[in-house]
Amino acid sequence: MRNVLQILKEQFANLGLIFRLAKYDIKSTYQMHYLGTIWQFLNPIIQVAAYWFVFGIGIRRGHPVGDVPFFIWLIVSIVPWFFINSSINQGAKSIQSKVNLVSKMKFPFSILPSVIIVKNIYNFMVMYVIVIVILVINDIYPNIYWLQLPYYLMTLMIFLFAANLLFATLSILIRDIQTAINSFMRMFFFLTPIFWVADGLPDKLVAILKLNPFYYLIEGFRNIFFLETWFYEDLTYTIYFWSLTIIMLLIGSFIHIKFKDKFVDYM
Amino acid sequence: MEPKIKLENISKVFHMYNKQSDKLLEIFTPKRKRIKKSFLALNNISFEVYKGETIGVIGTNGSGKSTLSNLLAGVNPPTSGNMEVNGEVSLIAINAGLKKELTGLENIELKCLMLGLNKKEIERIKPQIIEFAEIGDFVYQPVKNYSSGMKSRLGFAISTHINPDILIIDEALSVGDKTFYKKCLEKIAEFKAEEKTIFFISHSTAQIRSISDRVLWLDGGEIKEFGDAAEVINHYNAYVKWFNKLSKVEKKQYKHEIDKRRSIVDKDLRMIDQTGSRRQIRNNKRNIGFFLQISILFLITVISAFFMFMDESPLAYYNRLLDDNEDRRMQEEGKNDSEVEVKEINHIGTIISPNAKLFSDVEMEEKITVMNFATGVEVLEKIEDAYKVEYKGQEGFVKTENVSLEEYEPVITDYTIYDLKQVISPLLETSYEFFLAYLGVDYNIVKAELGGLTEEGEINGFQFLKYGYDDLVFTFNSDKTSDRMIIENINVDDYLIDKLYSEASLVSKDESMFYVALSEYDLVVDIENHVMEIKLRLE
Repeated sequence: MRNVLQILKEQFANLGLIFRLAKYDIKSTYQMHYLGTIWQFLNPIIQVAAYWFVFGIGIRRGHPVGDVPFFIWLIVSIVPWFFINSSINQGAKSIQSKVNLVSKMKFPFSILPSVIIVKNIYNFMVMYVIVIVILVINDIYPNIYWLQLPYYLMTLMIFLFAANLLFATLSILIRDIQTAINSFMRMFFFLTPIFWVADGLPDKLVAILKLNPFYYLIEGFRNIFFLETWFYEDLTYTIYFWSLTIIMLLIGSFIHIKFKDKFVDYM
Repeated sequence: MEPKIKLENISKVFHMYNKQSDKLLEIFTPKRKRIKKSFLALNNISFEVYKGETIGVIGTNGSGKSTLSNLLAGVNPPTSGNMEVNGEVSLIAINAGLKKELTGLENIELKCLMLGLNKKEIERIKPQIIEFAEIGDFVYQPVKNYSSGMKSRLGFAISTHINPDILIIDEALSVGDKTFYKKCLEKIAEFKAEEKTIFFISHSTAQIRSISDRVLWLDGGEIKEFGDAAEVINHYNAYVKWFNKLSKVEKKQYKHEIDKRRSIVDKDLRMIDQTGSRRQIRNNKRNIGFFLQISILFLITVISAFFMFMDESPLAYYNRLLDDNEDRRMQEEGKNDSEVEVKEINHIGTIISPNAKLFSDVEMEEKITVMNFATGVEVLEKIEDAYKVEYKGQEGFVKTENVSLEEYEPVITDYTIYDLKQVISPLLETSYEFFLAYLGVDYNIVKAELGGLTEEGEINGFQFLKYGYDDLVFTFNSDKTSDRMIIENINVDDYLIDKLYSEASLVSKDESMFYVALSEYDLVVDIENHVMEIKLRLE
């Protein structure tokens, strides 16, 4: 717990630095591109279109999910997935890619995973506003369940921070982690019901799928807009998710603090 | 005077790993059990440096100069010993901390950002850095295209312009040309004038002599001499001269001896580690707490995962356990007084709820039919909260709340069946009286003579014929005679409905249905479903 507090203190003490670095990162990534930061949005839009065509039109023949059109059903959860996916993939190498740059100065390494999250969240927020506009156009209006949106956003952020801190630190010690995360994230994209529907599967199978924490996050967004349930209604799953997240945060903080002075030695 | 930098018995050990996996093993094995080869880069270094001093550091290759500069800059932690550094340190080394893919300008921005400067400050010092570095238009080129001189100039420019308290220059000037070297010296002089502390690391005794106040001579990871610049440099020069005169074999032997002294195995390492042993104990205590927290959380995770595989939530599971106990207790009590209270009633009752269900068992599980609102039933017995009733020739059980035992005398109102025309749809209005004539008529006649039948079947055990185009349904009793005419889609907002309601003989408990006696006919209106039922009154 002491470690976690120390890590969190570092985050808040360097909040300005985190935002400045994230902004710089966004700017420099697309600097050599003619379309610039438009790519940030063009990229996911092209992917959504492809998934919608292949799975919505090709496989489902345009069948809605319940009474929700497939396209709406897809974007509500695929947009958070883009955020999760890029945050975790980039987060895993966040420290390693900057170690050379900061090796000759004192620098709080623990903010590097946060920089990645902040960098991606900007894109995510803009996309989600668009999603909500599309929802309203399709007659899904704000109701009391929408109050859960902050809860799920906060959950998403804490989970990503815990995962990034753990994986970024581990991948300094074990370089294989980065490659492993890359392929596991691709696997989880298919194992999480993002473009397919889990309803109607055997209960035991759904329970196995639910062990994947991304399921909780992705389903959460659907719970808000379509199923209209509260997050505490599936209390068991909520407890499972949070204890897993806190374990990751504890282990991540522990090894980060234990090894942060030695990062340069390990390179 | 407070020293700016104070080192006490500082040692730095580098571990030699043969394989990548050895690094990993170190994480998991406790310190005492580790067996490996180590290299003592710095051995027992102690010195103090004061504000405004310029310290030159000399030594042959591999004497530990760069290790010392990294320790001072806080890049690497010392293995043992105490180190105090008061102030912001900036380290300049050849191509230190520049990103090859980024342009010079981007490197300036990123480096300044990482050092915690804000946008305004960066905008202010950027032109100064570019000017000082003298790299011209190359500032817009990626750093990988730079010559080594350019890189070192840019590095020097950035590090000196962020205004550090302590500046460490590690061989950075050896690649620059004369003019730039002169410029750097001016900058260093500026720093000296501002009473800043400078460490100047170089092979060149001439450079060191010109700017240092004191000189630190490192040899084989140890301090050979630390003192007045001219004196130490003279000794160092003499040493180099002596060393160069040695024959090849002697040189090799000498170097070998030093290396042997510095390479240590784990046993010696433990000696060095002992200074930190007290801290180790405290850390162990903390680790126990950490592992306890992890295990508890892990347990919670496993338990909650287990319950995800159960069909019911833990709360439901717990309640069921309680219920089972309760049931068992009830059963035991039931044995003692198995007599359930039964009271004979034998009285006429009236159904006062819409959709009152008739069950064949007292537990109310097997439904027989739904009893119509405002119909009479023969109430036979009361068993706890159920009545045993007879309804249209069937015996069954119904909840007591659905039946009223109060007698009521229907008040016959002045309204006639024809007044109802104004609440039915205009389509039905013309044929309304024609349909009315078929109340109390045999099933086959109705079916044969009325056109526009859309549906027929059985509901609650009685046959019905539906004329969907006219919003009309006839139901038949057990004698196959039409006893009720049901009209759907009536206009319940009409004022007539309100008037009829105010004269109703019976209103359902939830006030959604009411019963009015007209002359010759009984009328039941279901306000909620926009339906009314007309029945011939049997005298």
